[in-house]
Formats: sequence, C-alpha cells, structure tokens
Amino acid sequence: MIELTAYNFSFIMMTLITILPALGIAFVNSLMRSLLLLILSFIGVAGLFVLLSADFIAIAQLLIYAGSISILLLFAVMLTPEISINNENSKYFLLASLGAILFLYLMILLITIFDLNQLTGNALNKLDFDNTIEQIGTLLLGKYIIAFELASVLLLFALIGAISIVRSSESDFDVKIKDSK
Amino acid sequence: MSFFNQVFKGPQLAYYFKKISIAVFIFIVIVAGYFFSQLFFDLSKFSQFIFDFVLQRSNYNFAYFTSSIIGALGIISFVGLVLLVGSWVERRVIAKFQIRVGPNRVGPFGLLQPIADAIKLMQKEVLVPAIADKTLFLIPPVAIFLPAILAWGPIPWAPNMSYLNINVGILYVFAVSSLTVPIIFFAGWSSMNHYALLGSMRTVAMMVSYEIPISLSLLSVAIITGTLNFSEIVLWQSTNSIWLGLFMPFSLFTFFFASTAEINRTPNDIAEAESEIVAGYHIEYSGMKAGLFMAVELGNAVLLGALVTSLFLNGWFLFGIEKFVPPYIIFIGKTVAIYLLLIWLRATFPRFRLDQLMNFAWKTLIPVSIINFFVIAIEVTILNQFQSTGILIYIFALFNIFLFLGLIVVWSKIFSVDKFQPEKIQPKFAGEIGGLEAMKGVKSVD
Amino acid sequence: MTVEEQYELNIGPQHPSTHGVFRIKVAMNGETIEDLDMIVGYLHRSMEKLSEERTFTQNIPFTDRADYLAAMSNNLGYCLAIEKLANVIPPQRATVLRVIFAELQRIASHAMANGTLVSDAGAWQTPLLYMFREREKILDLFEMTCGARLTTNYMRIGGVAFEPPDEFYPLLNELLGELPDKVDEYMDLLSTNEIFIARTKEVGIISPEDAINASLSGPALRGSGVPWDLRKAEPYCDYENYSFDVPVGNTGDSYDRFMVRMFEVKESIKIIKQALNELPSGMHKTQIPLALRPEPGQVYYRTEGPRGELGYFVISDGGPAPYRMHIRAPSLINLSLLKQLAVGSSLPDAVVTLGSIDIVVGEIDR
Repeated sequence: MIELTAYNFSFIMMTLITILPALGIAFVNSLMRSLLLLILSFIGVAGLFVLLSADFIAIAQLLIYAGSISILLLFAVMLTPEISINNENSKYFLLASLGAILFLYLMILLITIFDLNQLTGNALNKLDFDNTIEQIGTLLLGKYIIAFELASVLLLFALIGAISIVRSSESDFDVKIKDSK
Repeated sequence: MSFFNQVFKGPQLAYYFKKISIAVFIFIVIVAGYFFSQLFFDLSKFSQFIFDFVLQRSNYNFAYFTSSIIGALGIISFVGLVLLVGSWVERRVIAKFQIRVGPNRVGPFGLLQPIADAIKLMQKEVLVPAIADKTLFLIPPVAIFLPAILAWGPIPWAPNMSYLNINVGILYVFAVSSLTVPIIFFAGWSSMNHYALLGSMRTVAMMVSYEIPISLSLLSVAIITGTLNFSEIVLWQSTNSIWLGLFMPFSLFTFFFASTAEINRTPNDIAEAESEIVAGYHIEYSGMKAGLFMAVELGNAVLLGALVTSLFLNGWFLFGIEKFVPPYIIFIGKTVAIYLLLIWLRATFPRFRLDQLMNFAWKTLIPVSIINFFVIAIEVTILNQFQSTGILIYIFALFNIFLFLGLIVVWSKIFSVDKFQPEKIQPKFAGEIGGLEAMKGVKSVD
Repeated sequence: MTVEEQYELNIGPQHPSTHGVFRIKVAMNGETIEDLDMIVGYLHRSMEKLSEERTFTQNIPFTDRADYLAAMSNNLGYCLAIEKLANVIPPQRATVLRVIFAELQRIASHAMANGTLVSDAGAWQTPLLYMFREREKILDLFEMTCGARLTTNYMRIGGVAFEPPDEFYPLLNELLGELPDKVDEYMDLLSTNEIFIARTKEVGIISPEDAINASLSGPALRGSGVPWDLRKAEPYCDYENYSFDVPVGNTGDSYDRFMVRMFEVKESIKIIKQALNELPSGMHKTQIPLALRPEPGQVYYRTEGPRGELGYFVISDGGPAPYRMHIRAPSLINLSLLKQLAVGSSLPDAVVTLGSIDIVVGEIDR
C-alpha cells in the first residue's frame, strides 16, 4: 500500500509522535502529565511541518506552541490545584465520545474526498522557491498586509484587556493583605 | 673560555640546559602544531570522504544518513568534552579568583576531577520523594539535555563546518532553547517541594520576561544582515569588516545580559539562588540527576559563548589570523573567552532580587531595546541606499556607541539612580555618646 | 482569585543562610512573607546551668563556646565581671594586652559577619574568602599566643594566660600596616557595587526609636544612627585613654549596618596601634587563689562585644562556683526585631536582613 521510503518512514514516525501523545492527553488522569504529552504532540506537528519543507512554520510551531502556549497552559493548570493531580472521569463521557466519533467520520470523509497528493510533500515539487522565510515575509508585508496589521491590532486589544483585568484584581489583593493583618 | 666556564659549570649547566630544552620544545610544538593544523585545516574534507566512502558501497539515502549521524556524534562528543573540561576550568578559575587552589588532586592539575565527580555522582542513590509525581520527576533531568544539545546544531564553527546550515538558524536556536522552560517547570512541580516550586516559578517568570529583549536584539541582527542563517551573519560581518558587537553595542549587552538571566548565571541566578531557595527547581534531585542539571547549565553557558561569538564577534574571523590557524580554533577561542567572562561575573557579583530583575527587564531593557531597534532600522534603510557601506557603517557604529551611553545616562536620570551614590550613603561619626538626643551631634566623615 | 492562600516554608535548621542551626517557620504568599516564627534551641548546651557546678576559672572555656566567633571578647566580659565581683585588679600590661586581643577579635568577627552578609546577598563566596584572608592572619596570631584559633580561652581572672611570643609583635605590625589597604579594597569591591547597594539599601530598615525600644546594641543599633558604644559610654579596660570615633549609619538599613562594621574595623586598627605604642612592661597576670571564693553578692558587667552589649550577670554565694550565671547575649536580643522587619518583605530581603543583623547561634542558644 505505502512504499517504505525514507520520507514515508519519517512521516509515519512523526504521525505516531503526534497522535499517540494526543490520545494520552485524553486518557491520562493527571493534568500535568497530559500537558507534557501535549508538548510532545506539538513537537510531532513541528516534525510534520519539517517534512513538508515548511521550515519557518515548523520553527514557529516549536517556538509558539511548544515553548509559549504550554507555559500559558501551565499557569492555567496551576490555578486549579485541586483537579490537577487526580482528575476524575468526566460525566460528559458519553457525549464526548459521540462527538469524537462524529469528528472521526468527518475526517474520513475529507480524506476520501480530497486528492491527498495535493496536500503532501509532492505538491512542493511544483513550487519554484526553496526559502520559505522570504516568501512568507514578502506575502505578509505585501499581499496580506491588512490582515497582518489587523491581527496585530487584535493582539494589542488582548494585551490591554489582560492588563485591565489584572489591575482590577490587584486592588482585591491589597484589601485581602490588609485584612490578614 | 672563562665565559664558557662561567656559564656551563655545575648546577648552572643544568639550569641553562633546562631553559634551552624548554625553548626547543616550544619551538617544536609550534612547528608541529602548524603542520598539524594545516592537515586538519578544513574538517569538511573528512566528512566529504566519509560520505563518498559510504556512497560507493550503498545508496545516497544511506550515505546521507550515515554522515549526518557521524556529524551529530561529533557535536555530542564535543558537548561532552566541554562539560568535562568546563567544570574543571570553572572550578580552577573561580579558585584563582578566590585565592584558593581548586581541585588539584586527581590527575595532573586535577584534570581528572570531573571524571571522579561523575563516578561519585553515579554511585549515589537516586532519591525520589514519596509524594512526588514519579514519572514527571524522572523525565526532566534527561529531557533537559535535548534542547541543550539540539541548540548546538546551527553553530558555524568554520566556513564549511555547520551541522545544520538552515535558513532559520536564529529562530531555531531560540525555539529549541524555549523548550527548557516547561522542562524546568515540570522538574520543580513534580518535586512537590515549596523551594522547588518557588525556583521553577521564578524560572518561568524570568524566561517569559527576558525572551522579549533577547528577541528584540536578535531582530536587530536579522534586519541589518538580512538573514537568519548563522554562517551568512558571520560572512556579512567580514565583508563589511565590522563586528556587529561594535556596530550595536546595546544589542550585544541586551543579548548577553538577558541570556545570563535565561541560563541562570550570576548575577541573575535567582532561580537557584543558594542563599534564598537553596537550589531552586532541582533541590530534590540527588546523585547524577542533580549532576545532569548542573552539566546542562554549564553547557548552556558555553553555548551562550558560541552564540555571542557567531552573532556579534565575527565568528571564525580574527584579523587575518584565520588564514594560518584553523578557523574552528579561533571560534572556540572566542567562545572560551566569553565563557571566562561569565566565570568572572560569577566570581564577582552579588545576585539581583527577583523584582529588581523584572523591573530591569520591563522598565529598562525592553523600552531601550525598542528605541535601539528603531534607530538600527533607520540606519539599515539609509545603508541600503548605497552600493557599498564603506565609511558610513563606521559613522553609524560610533553613533550607536554614543546612543548606548546616552541611553544609560537618560535612564539613570529617570530612575534617579544617583540617590544611592556611594558618597552620599557613607556612615558618619558620632560627636557624643547617648540616645536619641545625641543623634543631633552626628557629623559626617571628613 | 485565590490570593489569600498561604503556604508554609521551613527555612532551616539546615539552610545555607541561617548561619548555623536556626530555624524560621515562614508563612508565605507567593514571594511575600506574611508571618514568621523563629525557633531557637537546636544548639542549646545548657551553659548557664553547667557553670553553676564549676569554679569561676573553669567557666572561662564556656564563654568561648557561647559566641564562637568572638571568643576573646566573651572571655574578657566574663573575666571583668568576676574581677569586679572578687575585687581583683589586673596589672596594667594585662589590661593593654586584653584591649589588643579584644580589638583583633572584633576585626575578625566583623570580617566574618560582612563576608557572610555578602554571601547571603548572592556573591558566590569571593568576598567571604577575601575577608577570611585577614581573619586567618588574626587567628594565626591567636594560635601562636594561646594555642587555639577559635576557642581561645586566653583571658584569666586577673590578667591574661600567656605573654605573647616575641615573633607576635612584628607579625602584628605587618598586619596593621596592610589592613587599612585591605579594608579600602573591600570598600571598592562592595560598598560601591551597584548590585550590592540595590540588594541592601532600604532593606530591613530599623528606626532609631524601634532600635532603642527593642534594646538593640552594637552595629545593629549604631546602623540606625544612635551613637551608643559602651567603650565610650562606660569605659572599661581604660578605653577612655584611646582616641577613636564611633561610626553611625544614616537610615538603619542593611547597608548601614554593613558599613558601620567596615568603619569599626578601621577604628579598631587605630586602637590597636595606640595600645601597642603604650604597652607597659610588667606582669601579665596577678596571682589569684586556685579556688576563687568571692564575697557573697551579685554583679552585672557589660562590655561592647562585636555584636553589641555583652553582659554577664553573676551571683556568688561565697562558694567556689557561681550561684547563678546569666549571659546577656546580643545576638538573641538583636534577633527579636527580625519578625517586624521581615513580615511584608520578600524572601531574599529577609535573608539579607538576617545576615546584616549578624547572629551567632551559639550565643542565642548558649
């Protein structure tokens, strides 16, 4: 079915590194452990991008998801100390598994409908550049400049919103310190 | 004849013989070293030979695979050597700073001390706290080696000596080193110890803050050289005949200072501050597991030296000496110089406090880095108008140095640093002895 | 937000910056200390009770072990107290020798205190070892005089135990010649260091009123600006004959306590030079009975030790041993303000404050 070339072997390895930890995230009880598996899964996705010769996206995946988003999630887990170690099975188990089956069906549909050769590394052979960074830079600051700037404005709003939320809770903090004395 | 008798007589004969033989020995070493270095001037010949050798007997894929494995082994063995020699160097040099002798018992000059240390650490029992999350506890000491070794990949040792000659070199190192943060956090969290948790929270807070100035300084490097590839950055510096560290001293300072915060070196080693939180995130690790954390810290310090060398100090070029000495020797020499600077800092400075470091990052380094970045962007725009950079780049370098000094003055005025001038806070001498009444008779020291 | 959540942290009994086996139980919120409980007694050796079973002379070695970093000063305080109780008058030469050794001990003790303070502030032992260089020379002088470096047991009731050997004086003069330069070297290295100033300035501020109310003494009191030194206020050992100044700090923070110690080292050098110039000849101790039996009565005699007012309260019932002996240990009383200073500050500040107060656990627990 699949010819075992070096490329396909690496692809299978990277897929396993992506999917197996992803399964683990769902089934492991400790939130911290599932976070570790999530980071592993992110690294696997970065490996998949490398196989697609998308070096910049791969590095961005490592930097943003494995390095930074995981820290954000760490803080989120730290704020929920009670459930972080022994996380009981959810009461929505049935509903969630139903959703998972539906999603699987959707994925199978998509895979069978689309021509996979359009999506894998074979598509890259038709392109006439070897340096993705330059292309991404030119496109981001040329054709898609408005979307790029809008995204940065959105991030700025998010930043200001986060600061305003933190500042309002800071006053609570002061009051509680005084109460404890 | 009398002169001859005077010189070559009794114990003096042995003395002069010793002197002459030392001179001859040094001469032989220099000559042999020259021929030896000519033989190993370009190590890429050897990797090419291995590649061709395997290619004749097998297919292309296997040859590529084999030579890349051998290259990776070369880097790993170099890092291992660095860890062994580095710990000896650090201990000996700090001992010299502290008027001590340092390790001198195991082997000549104590050179085998790191091996003895490693054997001793391996013999020790690995204690796992009873309430620790055992899986998460045992992964970090091993996992933390991964980024520490992966980040050595794109380092340009010599013209044809770079294991990962990729276009996203700077981003790659930045991304890979950011993976240490969750690993350190898992180490601290799974220990279930308050000291460890404090240490890992400090690490995370510091890394989140200090990645911004680092990325701003790297961005300055990227816009002026127009590339993220390490080899091309080194070559840019030699074609324009200026070291980037001279062209933008503030970026060099930011990168160096913020990196010391990221790799937990004095004066920014608050994540494992010995006098406060004992050992920080690796307090519960014993034996070789603690040794691995320390080894990675040492390796990261040398890696910082290699990064500063290739980004700011013109890599393997050194005023034409690279034509006679193998370039990778020059590169390693510069790296060791930066590492010795780190040891010097460690032996000299006290430690900052956590909030002081955060204030420094957010109130000083980041705003000044942004100003510095804009100035350099303007300079790059002007430089791009001309065919050759010529004398203009030196004028800009001079301007940047004065900008650096000026910004220091402005920022010290903003935060009124001179309130704490040492002359103003000296003790005074009491005029008369007594309680609160006598305090009025206190006069200043002459 | 769960910001009111506290957790408990045990600093000590084994911790690099508690200066011995001393334990602080801290309630922390993040990096802020919200409550603090000091637990002492890990080094208790029942010194005061044991001394009731031994003769007055046999008790001198106990005082070595009370403040093991300032054995000479402790010997001196005890011997002066017993001399006042028993009306013994030491010869003039012994008094001057006592001043020389007590001031040498003060230099050694201050070097140790400031070195460990800088280590607490995070310097990786370099300043500590530099300070140890001079302390080492002083301890060598002690060793050639009385055979011991730390627990000297040198002072006797009615004088000192031994005459210093002949090679003592040239070595002492050499040391006195180079010490001022070394002190200036430390000042260059530390007191003008931006990081050190940032770590110690405005950290652990003790106001003069608080210092007096808490009965602080020594550099901790003088750092707050209160000019109080028992060598000037109630001179003993003829300290009124020596000319020296009393340095006092400006704001009472950790930096001031550090600098006061540095300046006191300079003043001690002055005192030793004057003492050497007027060292009279004669006996180094008077003859006292082997089992000294003072008249029934009590005495409280206080001297200025390196850490502050070192008082000995001794009651005699006419027997060969004290009926009761109590040591007023300056470390214990200086430590009493730690809770007020540390609550509300961060962990690193508390460590620096503790280091600047300069405790010796042997003296606290006795």
